[in-house]
Amino acid sequence: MVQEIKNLFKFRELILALLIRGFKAKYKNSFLGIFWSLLNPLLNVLIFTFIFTVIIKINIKSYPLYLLCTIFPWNFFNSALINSIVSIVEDDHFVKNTFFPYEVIPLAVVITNFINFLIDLLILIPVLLLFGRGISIVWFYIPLLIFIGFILTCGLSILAAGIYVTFRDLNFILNFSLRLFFYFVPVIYTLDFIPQKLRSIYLCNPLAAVIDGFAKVLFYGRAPDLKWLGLATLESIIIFTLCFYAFQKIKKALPEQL
Amino acid sequence: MDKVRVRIENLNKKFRVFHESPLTFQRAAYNLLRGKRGYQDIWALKDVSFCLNKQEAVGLIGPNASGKTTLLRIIASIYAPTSGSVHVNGRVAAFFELGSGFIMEFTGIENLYLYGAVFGLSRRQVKERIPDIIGFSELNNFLDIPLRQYSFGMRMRLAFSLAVNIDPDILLIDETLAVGDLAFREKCFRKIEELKAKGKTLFLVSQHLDEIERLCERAILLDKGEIKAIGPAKDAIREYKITMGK
Repeated sequence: MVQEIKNLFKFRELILALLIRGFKAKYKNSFLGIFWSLLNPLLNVLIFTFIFTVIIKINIKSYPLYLLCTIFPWNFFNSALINSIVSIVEDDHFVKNTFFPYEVIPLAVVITNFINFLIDLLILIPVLLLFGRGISIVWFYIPLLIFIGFILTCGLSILAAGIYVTFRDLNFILNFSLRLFFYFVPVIYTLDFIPQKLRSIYLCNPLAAVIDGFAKVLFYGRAPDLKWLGLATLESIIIFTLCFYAFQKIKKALPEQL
Repeated sequence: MDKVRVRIENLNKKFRVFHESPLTFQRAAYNLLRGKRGYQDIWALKDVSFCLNKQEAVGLIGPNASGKTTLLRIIASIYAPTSGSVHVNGRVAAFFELGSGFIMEFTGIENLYLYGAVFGLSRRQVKERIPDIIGFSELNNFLDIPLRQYSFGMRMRLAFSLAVNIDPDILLIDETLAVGDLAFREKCFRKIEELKAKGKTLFLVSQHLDEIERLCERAILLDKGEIKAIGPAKDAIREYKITMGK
């Protein structure tokens, strides 16, 4: 396992090349590309703001700003998974004709989305400042939050891309699950809406803990609850390890199924 | 012992072909409930044994669907053998449907870096080789345009020039030289001779028997996954012509 991860490092040039391709395809070499990729989450922010401030009055102050703090991490998780699940199949000619650690393909897709996410966060900073949320010491928690989200997404994406080679309806199942999962993380509502009794179960979901962490740090300027973040870190590492291990098991059989 | 680069013993390869392809969870569940198998097993290679040595070019001939490409893919570690043993001693570069590993949106140069990366070369190592690759391919004017604009022949030139310049110990080539023009093919043949003299091992799949006869000392005739003949290229080719004549 450690050997396999080291091996990935040897193929960093390949990952880099795939990243460049990912960005080229995404942005068609245009600077406007960044704005296009922002459009989808921003549209969601507009829709939810309309629903929850005009139609149903939700009890969250500066609701659009709250959404901006939570939607980008969700958007990273969501689009990384959706884009990476098909990645190995889309690169079938590559996999069928060359021998290399095939996990670099979904990994490159996740990293492309990850860089996008980092850009989103950078764009968010001036917005936060504009709305009176000052730079705070709790921002030091951001790298930890990012790390948890990243390895969780990596593990799931790699395994999903591997299984999709054999079972081509997995993407329908994934799309459906993601839509459902969206309501189990605090993106459109805050953690306060979850009854106290259920909260400890709710926060066992590592992504819920991460997104709540982003809300706490960016929106409230408070430190996240380290107990739950610690659990999320542990869970993410376990999920990544299991997924990566499972992928190594099925990897050998992938080329002949394409 | 040391001169053997590839040693294959009693190799078998089974493919599980699903009737509904590609498979879905839905179909798998249906098959399970109905007690249907939903697949059949095809033996692509049956009890194949042979060696490839240093400093030789070996041809692999046989009708379509005889398992030639499967065999190459197993040597390149892309497919895992079902049973039997495969020992490869040296670095393998494999080129199937030439240029199929390239990315069409990338320019010629970018693809060279990419392919070098797949082969495990660093950017710098590729860079050092670029003048040779360009020189050999004669594609100087096209290297900065996307591969999408290349013709088949040009892609093949790029891929072959790359293949012979990244210095593999074992070079597997699958039906590719045929798309080159006369002059370039001649150049490829000379290059293959040169590589052979340097101690490299070449394994060529081709339907162009004259090519095989010219380049290879030995040839293997594969039919329906079994070795039908192995020996001097001339003999294997004659055998092939006889089987096809029937």
